[in-house]
Amino acid sequence: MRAEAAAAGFDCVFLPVCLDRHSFPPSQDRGNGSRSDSRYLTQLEGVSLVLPTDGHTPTAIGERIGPTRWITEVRSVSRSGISDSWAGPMAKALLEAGMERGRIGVVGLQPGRLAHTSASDGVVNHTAYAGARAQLPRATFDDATDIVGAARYVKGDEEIACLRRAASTAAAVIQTLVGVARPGVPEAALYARGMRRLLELGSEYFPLTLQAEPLGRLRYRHRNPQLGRTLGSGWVIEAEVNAVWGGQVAQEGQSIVLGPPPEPYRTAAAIQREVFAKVLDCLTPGRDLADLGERISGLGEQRHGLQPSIRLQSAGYGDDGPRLSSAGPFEPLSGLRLEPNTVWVCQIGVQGADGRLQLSWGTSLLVTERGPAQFVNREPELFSIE
Amino acid sequence: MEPDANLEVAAMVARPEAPIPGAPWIWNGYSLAERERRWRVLRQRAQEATLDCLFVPLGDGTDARYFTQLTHAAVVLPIDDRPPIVVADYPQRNEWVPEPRYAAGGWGESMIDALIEAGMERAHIGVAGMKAGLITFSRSADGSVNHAAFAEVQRRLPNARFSDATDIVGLVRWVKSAEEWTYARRAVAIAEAGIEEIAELARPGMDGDHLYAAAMERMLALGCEHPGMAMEIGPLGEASNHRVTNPPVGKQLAENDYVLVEVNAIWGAQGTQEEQHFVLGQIPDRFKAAEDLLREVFEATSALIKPGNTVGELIEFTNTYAGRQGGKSGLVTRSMLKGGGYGEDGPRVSPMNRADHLPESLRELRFEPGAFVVWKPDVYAEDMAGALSWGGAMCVTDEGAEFLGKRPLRLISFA
Repeated sequence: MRAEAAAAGFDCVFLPVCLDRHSFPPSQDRGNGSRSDSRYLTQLEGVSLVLPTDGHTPTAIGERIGPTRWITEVRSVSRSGISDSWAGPMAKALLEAGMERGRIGVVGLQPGRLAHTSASDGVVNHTAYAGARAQLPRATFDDATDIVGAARYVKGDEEIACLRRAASTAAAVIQTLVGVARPGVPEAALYARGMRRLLELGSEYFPLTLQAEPLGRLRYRHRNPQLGRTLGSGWVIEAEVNAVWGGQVAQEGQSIVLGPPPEPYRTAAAIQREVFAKVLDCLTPGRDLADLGERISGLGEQRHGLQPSIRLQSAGYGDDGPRLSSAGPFEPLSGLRLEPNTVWVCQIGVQGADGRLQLSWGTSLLVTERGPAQFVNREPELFSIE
Repeated sequence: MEPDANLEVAAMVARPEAPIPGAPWIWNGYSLAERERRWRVLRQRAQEATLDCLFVPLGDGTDARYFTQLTHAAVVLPIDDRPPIVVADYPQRNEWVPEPRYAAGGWGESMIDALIEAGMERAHIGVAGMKAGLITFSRSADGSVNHAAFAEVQRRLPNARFSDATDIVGLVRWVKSAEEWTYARRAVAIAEAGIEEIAELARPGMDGDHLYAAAMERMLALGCEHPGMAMEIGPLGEASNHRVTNPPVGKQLAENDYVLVEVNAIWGAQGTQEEQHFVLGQIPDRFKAAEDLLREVFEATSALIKPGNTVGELIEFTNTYAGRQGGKSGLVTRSMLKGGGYGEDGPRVSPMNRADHLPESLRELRFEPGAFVVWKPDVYAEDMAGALSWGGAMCVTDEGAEFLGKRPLRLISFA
């Protein structure tokens, strides 16, 4: 990362304090990703970091912070009744690193192609950042989101092991949901049981996403349990399970029908299987992502009156990238490649013309030198509980 | 008054079909009367502060929810009777805000348009969430405003004057309406159900992850929004350095363990934190003495949390209580004060704070009738290797603070 930043002309990489996901809860992805660089760079929650590109020791700034195996230089933000601003300590750390006239690469200022992909305005806290910046009037500040994003994109062996475990946990939660979902079960109880399984297996809290409605009705997406709703015969349940291990988030998704699925749903599931197999064929290491996008776009052609859609998103600490959708656009991805040792969440959706038929399935994939491999042995199928 | 479960069920059955497949559903059960109350009081306080409008920018999701019942919104609320202009993510809308503007791409442009349309180009704009406040963002020194979007607003409205309005909004949020209190009480009941689950299951040999997960399941099954729990598990009388806010991976409960839990529950966008400690064995005499002292200090201080008294007076009284009782053999009484609600974490005073070290604005803050505090004094001693604490949500009344929990306040022992 230092080499990449130096090559881009930066004297340091600067991660300012970013918005707290509890106050910035827009989408789960965005909220979850807002402080992801802190965790990636330091294994600490919600700190700021100054990482000089010349190899000097990085400095972390945070509240109640102490040296760790990873970060030996730390600066505290004091807390006395009401917390003190981070602007001063962040500016001081930049000045100590010799950045008074430096070119500073700021992480999280804007959405990137490789991180914070859904954060339309970045994730940086205004008051702290503007305050620090004002104390270095001769320095230059430019966005460096994708310099850290590029490092996050390609996983190390330890990270892959964490994602493998997270995917396995998510798949176990789906098994639990399939075991519990029955007509007459309160939706909140189903939600709660799924979350229990997630936590029993040691995942960090990551809300389950459930959609449950009678067949043919447009479904809301819930990220909290809903009282007053009881599953009925003929309902469709769509579950998106994110599990976290070692900070890394993997996702598995599944649709469940309570009762015999009507024919169009069986057709939709068959389309999912066909499309997924073809997506795997497209995941050739080294392929340009714009080219990959064009190929998956070709798989999204309507058939039997049903519209498949494919989404591929890099997995990691949250709001990762790149992100591809069969709907495009692909030009922004040009120049990025499908790298070995990258992990992706692949979602295959199928929708009827009026949106009332909607099936989704998803899994986490590792791209190796030899091609893609699933972490969990699952293939698209529609669970029918009769 | 408890939230009417039948009404909740009816509301869910009657809710409109999703506007698009997979539209997010955010709980939005407050009445239109509650909306009018909030907007009226906010306008009045903003007017008193000579502001022309209140502005909740991107990033301040908790204030956005208070203003709109939407979790992702930016709001311009003029001080006159014009309705607020709300920017939201497509397709979010609700009864309070049936026709928000939808942000396309970056939010800066949409927020600028909203401010200009409201006539704020040369106005005095009060910005919520710019920095730490007495009630809101008390642990976020620099507030919670998104830089890129807000910097664009400042750049494009060079003649407007922006002032921090965190406390103007926070102090309104601190005092709850009757409607809000019904939901807050339900949140407390849910948190206590989580504690009850732990009391039923916590025994030597129990896996920590399973204990954690069971308590969370119990709260979620009751409809709790984003429950949370901090937990410490360790041998009685030994300092714990293993505080977790996720499952305590690798921890198994053992004989004579001390288990501390802080349970966070949200219902109707009202959140509480309830604290309960457990001993998996006999309570030693030292802890029994601490329990007696904590009971005394809790009772005495609850009476002090009433309109007119200040936070500083409460903290000073609490922190000197044991000393005034003759020292209590090295037992020390300390304060843990927080706020309750949706992201209201203040007024916040932690056990290490002395009254005379608090910022003046916090020290002199007076309790108000109907304000929501979380009060968890503790009794600390070096030879206990920690502190015994209990408490949770309290409603400030003229007679003192009313503890909203139903559980007996005690150290729970499984001998």
